[in-house]
Amino acid sequence: MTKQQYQDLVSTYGVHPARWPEDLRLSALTFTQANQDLAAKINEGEAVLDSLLDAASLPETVNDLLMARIITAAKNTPQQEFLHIETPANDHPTRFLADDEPPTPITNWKKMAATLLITMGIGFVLGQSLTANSEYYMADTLLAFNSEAESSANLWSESNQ
Amino acid sequence: MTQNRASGFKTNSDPDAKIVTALASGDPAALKSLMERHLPRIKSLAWYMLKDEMRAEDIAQEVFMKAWKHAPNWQSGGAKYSTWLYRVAKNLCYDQLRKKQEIHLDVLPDITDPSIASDEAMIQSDKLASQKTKIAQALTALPERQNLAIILCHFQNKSQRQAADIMEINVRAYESLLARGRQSLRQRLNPHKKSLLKDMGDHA
Repeated sequence: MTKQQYQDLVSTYGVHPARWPEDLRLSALTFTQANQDLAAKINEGEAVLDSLLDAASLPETVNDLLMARIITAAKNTPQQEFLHIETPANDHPTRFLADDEPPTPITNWKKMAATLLITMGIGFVLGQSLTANSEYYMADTLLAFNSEAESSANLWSESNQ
Repeated sequence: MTQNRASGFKTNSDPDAKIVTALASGDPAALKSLMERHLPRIKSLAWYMLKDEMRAEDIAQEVFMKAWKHAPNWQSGGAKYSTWLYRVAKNLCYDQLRKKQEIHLDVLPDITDPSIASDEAMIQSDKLASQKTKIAQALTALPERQNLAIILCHFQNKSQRQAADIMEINVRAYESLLARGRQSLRQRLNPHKKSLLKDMGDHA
């Protein structure tokens, strides 16, 4: 490790080897042992900042009351139903299915409702076009029936005569 | 059906795999185990980001309620379950910070020493609180992501890979944020350096 590399390392991670990246730790420690005075000089400013940050650190304690509050809330909250959905592999390290939230039955109902609406819309358009033409078909059919009825009536009257 | 639950765990390399599988079956004891492992750190992450004890507790509760509710459908792309917990906490804190731009720095947790009785001890305690406030102010004044990078590295002792995963950025970007954050912090604390070090010396 060079002087510049060591300087970059401590200005990024501070002077405590435990915070250094594992792959650089050994070579950095070798550098400090081989260049003790130089390393001490580089460490000087960063060590002050580390000490100030250490002084502002908060003790981490288990909060029993908070834990009890969360467990009570959980007992009164149902878990989401398990939805077996095949998802494609991706390189996102940790995730829910979309935006940190799993798909819910409501989301699926929305999709179904949208499909239903589209189908109804298509049906309505098709129905309209058929209805528009059907007036002519109806008129033709009625005329056909009328003419047939007339000719039948004529034939009936002719045969009676 | 249950065999598919918490199907994110393709391997047993995640130390929380068993707990999350039990959590997916609705076991409150699993939630307790999960909290024993991660609650103090999740809460402290929220505290460092928000500098507010009550809000940090609320964030911690929300994180573990999300873990409880979504456990049956949790999926992993390979990272640890705890990374997801930290990400949820981080995102909730960002939401809070955006809702309330102005952070009340005077609301610091009571870190009181029961042995304090004399006036001298009270003065020392005040000095320490003032020192903590100055450092907290300098940290909070940093851009959000630089602040978070310092919190994860310095206060949470996360490895560079873990920290980058939590921040959802690559390692190079994380290191850049960390270096810039420390540089800004040095500049901000430089005018107070002597008095802060003196207070530290007096307290020690």
